[in-house]
Amino acid sequence: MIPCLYTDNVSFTVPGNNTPILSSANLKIMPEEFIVLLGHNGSGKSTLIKLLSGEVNPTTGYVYMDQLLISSLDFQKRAKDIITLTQRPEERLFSNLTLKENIILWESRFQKKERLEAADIFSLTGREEKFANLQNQPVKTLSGGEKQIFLLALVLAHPPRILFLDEHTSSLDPKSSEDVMLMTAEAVAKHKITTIMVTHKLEDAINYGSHIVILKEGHIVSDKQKPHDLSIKTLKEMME
Amino acid sequence: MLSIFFASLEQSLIFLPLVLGMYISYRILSITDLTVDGTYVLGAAVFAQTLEYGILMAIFCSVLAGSIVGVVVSYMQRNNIVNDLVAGVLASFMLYSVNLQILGRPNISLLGKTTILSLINMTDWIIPLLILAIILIIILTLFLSSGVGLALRAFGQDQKLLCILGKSPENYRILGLVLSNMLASLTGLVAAQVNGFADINMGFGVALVGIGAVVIGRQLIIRVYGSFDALKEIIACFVGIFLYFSCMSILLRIGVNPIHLKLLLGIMLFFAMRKITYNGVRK
Repeated sequence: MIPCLYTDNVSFTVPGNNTPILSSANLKIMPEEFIVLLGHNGSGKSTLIKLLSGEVNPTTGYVYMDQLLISSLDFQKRAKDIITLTQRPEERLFSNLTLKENIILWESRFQKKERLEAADIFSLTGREEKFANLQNQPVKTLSGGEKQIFLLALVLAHPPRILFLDEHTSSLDPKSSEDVMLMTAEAVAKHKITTIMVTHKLEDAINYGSHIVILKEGHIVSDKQKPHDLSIKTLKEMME
Repeated sequence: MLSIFFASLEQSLIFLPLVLGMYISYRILSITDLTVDGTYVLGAAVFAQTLEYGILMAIFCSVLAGSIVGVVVSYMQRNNIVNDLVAGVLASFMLYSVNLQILGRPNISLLGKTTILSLINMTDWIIPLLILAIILIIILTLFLSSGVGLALRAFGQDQKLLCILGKSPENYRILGLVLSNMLASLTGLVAAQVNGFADINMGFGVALVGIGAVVIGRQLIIRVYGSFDALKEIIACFVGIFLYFSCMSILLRIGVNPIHLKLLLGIMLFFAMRKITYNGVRK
């Protein structure tokens, strides 16, 4: 099978700094895989996600999507195919614009006949009535959890081919965090979205991942299918 | 009192296109574009020099010149390589030479020449200015309420996100700045006709007056956050500029030395432009 995304000896160094954040990373991502990236703070997980999604360009090496250099792809196509969710949903929403206006802008990525109405997006949140009542309020009046759920609904209304999740539940309270993770996992399974998730929640890694990649000080130290009997203890040992 | 009202109304109607242009750049795009100081003069200068080819041609050339300035300034600011404020000051600095070149001398009189007023056989500017204002208000209300208007507002808030959503922020920068500079040159050409001359120094501080009017109007009319209402925003701009010129007329009427006028108006703008919080309490 052909990988939908792969890196060829990718390194990333911040200009003016000698130590690379990520060095010689080789990673192949197959369609419909759910990859979990694990590692301690500063191990290069978020940088790897930014490189894979084409948000930043590698210092050396190449990132390919469908065997084409990701930097050479039309950015309108990229906007439809690749979505990244971070722990700060406000980075992907226009905070001073209303929910409805955000929906119009997000939907404008698609042809007129493919675009959905505000009500269709709200129905995906699972709290249709609540969000419908808030539709003329600026997004900044929502709570962190509500923003993340609203954003997730916007993203999943037209499931992307590749979804990057960079600790997207980490700033939420336990209940919202669980809701958001469940909503994400259901949609990923239903639409067979290729997913790359960075998380510190090892139980999420075990529950949802099909493939576990461990990073340490900018190097990929482990890259394998998740064994069926993987426990949190074993995972912790692998990370040390 | 009535004469103060009409004098302020006429001045406000002349300046309304410029204020609406500043509203587009300053409020919608979040770009402080001081280029309009130069574009305003450019509009008047091009109009004065092309009037011999017919008034419609002169209006067309003048507005076209304004839009070219918009494109150039957008290019100077593209990808934020030069700060918007600096780019604007630089552009108006350079426009001084351009304007002087076009005018040929510091001042050109338009007295006795064909103007819109003589064309429609009227003696007073208020009615044609009102008609122009209404047409502009209708067009801009429709434009700002459209999808493109929404994308311009999105540009003003987060250019990077606009890019992530597959839109080119620079296209919106160009569109917005072309519009705002076109409106500034339109104001210039109208002012030249009403005042009867085009002068190299007529644009000094007009961008600031525009920003002041936008801020004053918003503080009075739009206090609470809610959904966007283009007509309300535009009316706020008018109220802002009307208040500014009313203050100026009153100051002159009560005998303030014209030399002190800019100082006093500047102090007034400073107090009006201080930020206020949601509930109207000054920070």
